[in-house]
Amino acid sequence: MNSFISFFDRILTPRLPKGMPAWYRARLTMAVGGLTLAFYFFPEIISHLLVPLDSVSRTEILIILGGGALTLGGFLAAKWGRLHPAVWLVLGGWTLDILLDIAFGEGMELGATMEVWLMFGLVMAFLLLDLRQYLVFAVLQTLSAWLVEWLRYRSGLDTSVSVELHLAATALLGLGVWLRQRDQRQREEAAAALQQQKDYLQKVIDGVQSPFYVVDVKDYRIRLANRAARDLGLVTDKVTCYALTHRRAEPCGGDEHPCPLQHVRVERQPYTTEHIHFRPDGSTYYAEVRGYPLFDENGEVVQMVEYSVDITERKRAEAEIRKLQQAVEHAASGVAITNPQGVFEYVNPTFERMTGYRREEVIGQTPRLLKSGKQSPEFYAQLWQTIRRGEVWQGEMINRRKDGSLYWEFQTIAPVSANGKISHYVAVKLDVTAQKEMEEQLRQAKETAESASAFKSQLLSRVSHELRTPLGGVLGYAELMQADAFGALNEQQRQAAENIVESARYLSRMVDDLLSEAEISARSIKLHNDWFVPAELLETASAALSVQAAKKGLTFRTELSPDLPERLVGDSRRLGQIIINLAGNAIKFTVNGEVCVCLARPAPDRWAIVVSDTGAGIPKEAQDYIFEPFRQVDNRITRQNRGSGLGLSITKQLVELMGGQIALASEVGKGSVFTVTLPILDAPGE
Amino acid sequence: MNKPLALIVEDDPQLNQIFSLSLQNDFTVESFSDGDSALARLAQVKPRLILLDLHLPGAAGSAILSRVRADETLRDVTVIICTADDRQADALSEKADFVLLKPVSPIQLRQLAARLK
Repeated sequence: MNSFISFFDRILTPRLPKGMPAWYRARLTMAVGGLTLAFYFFPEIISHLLVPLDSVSRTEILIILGGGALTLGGFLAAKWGRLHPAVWLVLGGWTLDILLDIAFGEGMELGATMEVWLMFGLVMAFLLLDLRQYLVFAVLQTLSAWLVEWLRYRSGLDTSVSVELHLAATALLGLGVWLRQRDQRQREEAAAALQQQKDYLQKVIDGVQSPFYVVDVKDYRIRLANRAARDLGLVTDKVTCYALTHRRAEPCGGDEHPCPLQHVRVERQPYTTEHIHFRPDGSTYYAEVRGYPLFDENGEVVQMVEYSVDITERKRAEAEIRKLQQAVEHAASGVAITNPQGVFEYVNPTFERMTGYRREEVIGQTPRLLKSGKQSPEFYAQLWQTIRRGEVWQGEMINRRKDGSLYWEFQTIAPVSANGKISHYVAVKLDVTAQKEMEEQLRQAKETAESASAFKSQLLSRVSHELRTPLGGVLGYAELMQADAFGALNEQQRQAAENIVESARYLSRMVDDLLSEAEISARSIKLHNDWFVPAELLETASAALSVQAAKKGLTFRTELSPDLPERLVGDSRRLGQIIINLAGNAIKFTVNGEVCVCLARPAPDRWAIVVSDTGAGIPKEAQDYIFEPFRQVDNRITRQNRGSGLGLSITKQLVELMGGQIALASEVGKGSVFTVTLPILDAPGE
Repeated sequence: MNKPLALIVEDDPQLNQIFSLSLQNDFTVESFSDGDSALARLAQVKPRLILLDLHLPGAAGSAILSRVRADETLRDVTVIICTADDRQADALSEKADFVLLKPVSPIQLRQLAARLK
């Protein structure tokens, strides 16, 4: 059964509507065939059902079988031999006629012959025509058969004439329907072939990733567009080339946006330009647009093939390159580019200024042009080794200008690699001649200053030695006189001795202060930082101070803050000097009340020496300058308070040398507070 | 009662005299004005106190100090340096017992020496 269905399916498939399941088509065909046969042979079938089978005319059965064989043969001939069905119809009809005549002579009933012919035509039509046309044919044939029978009946013609009429009508009908069908099929096939070609063309142009479209010269409308162009909104026949790509209401033009179409039409040659195009989302990009003319048979440009490429990236790269080029051209450093052999390919204007050579004098030469001979061959060998390894070389060298003068340059040479091979070397040169000279001058100046400083220190040391020794004599003899070492003194002599002692002491302090000040100024003072115990520092410094205070009837107090570490790092001798300077001043300028020296810890990382008094205080305007050398609040130097005028200056400089600050808070009539704040160091060091 | 021996090494004759006068109440004083003779004497005696200047003709004060400190038999000697050179004074303050910066007060010197007697 299946093979039977597939047989029908194979022959009939071309004639049935597409998309119909195969088994359904086969059954439909069989049903239509069965209904047709029933429609024609209904009277016979009824009569056969009513009479016994053996009474059925042997002739009729033969006719039916013969007609079927002929039909099949004709079909196969038409199918494979491409024999014209009309020819076959005639040939088949004649053959059938002859066969029938041979078999039955004139004995065959004419009505049966006619039915054979009708059936034959119907089966032929069924096999050759498609379903719809077959039905049309069948209806027409039936109607024509009825018409012929009716005409015969009305005119009383011979039955044989009606057979011929039937035959002719069937043949004409079949031929007409078949021809109609063939035309239609040819048209359809042509249309399908055209569509196939169009599809192929579309596929080809869609394969191009950049917008590709055809523009009509007449109205600038898009006639063909590939997918990329459609994505940009270039819908065929609806939009113009300029509307969407340029957001313009009129065709492009001018120097900025030259219209490729106009160029192509006028010049009849391909044209290339750059446009800014819009994407549907409003963003823009640079496009290189190429237009190619399409000519009609008269040689007129009717359309243009346009092809555009997004060159935004290229433009950006070009701009980047231009920028870099500008930067290199205007760089303050000399820039040179050489090939791997060291031959100059490019030098910038700074290079020209630096070396005195013009660009065209340098290109094609090697850096040997600038060689001064001041560097050893090993120097250059090492340089080349470095850059050939692909590493950056950096260093200074002396080169020779065109005019023969020498100059220092600081050079960075970097290899440029492409595909793992060095393609160029880029050298950036800085003329450091001035810098070199300055360095040399600075070095000399520093040496001079250092030797001057050393000389000054030596001188000071010498002078102080020379001053202190005779002072020792003056002070020593005077004190011995006071102590009656040379016999008892009278009151006048005692007073004189006292004056000598006092003057000698003053002079001695003066020498000390001058020496300290000079040492600090010459930066030759060195701090001897070491661990010390703050309590001991306070005690040592207070010893002499308390005596001085007691002499003036002042209270002298010391305080040691409990949160101060037990040990601190510092130069205890200099710290003692600071305390003695500040507290000594306080005692000197306080008439009554007290002087207090307090060691405190104002912050976790700092400690402080706070010296306060209840003295006269220091006026606001004086607070600014009392730390300057030789400045005192009251220039009236009295016997009671005379000093070198260097104490505070030395103190301030010492404090700063120790990395601390000194602050003063004072109010006239109430007293002064000097606060020295110093960092708490972790360990002794320079 | 025998007074302890004090050597005064000072090239300035006036200062030398002042030091001698300051110490003579409490010590038997021997004065030297150059380093070499002081060194020679040190080989013979064990003084209680040496008053030492640093800048001296002949052997320098620092050499004498080193010699004293190196000699085990002289370990009880107290060395007081009297100098006008505060840098050297700083440098030698560890090795010497006391360092006095000139000008030295004879009164204070006498008080200091008396404590050592």
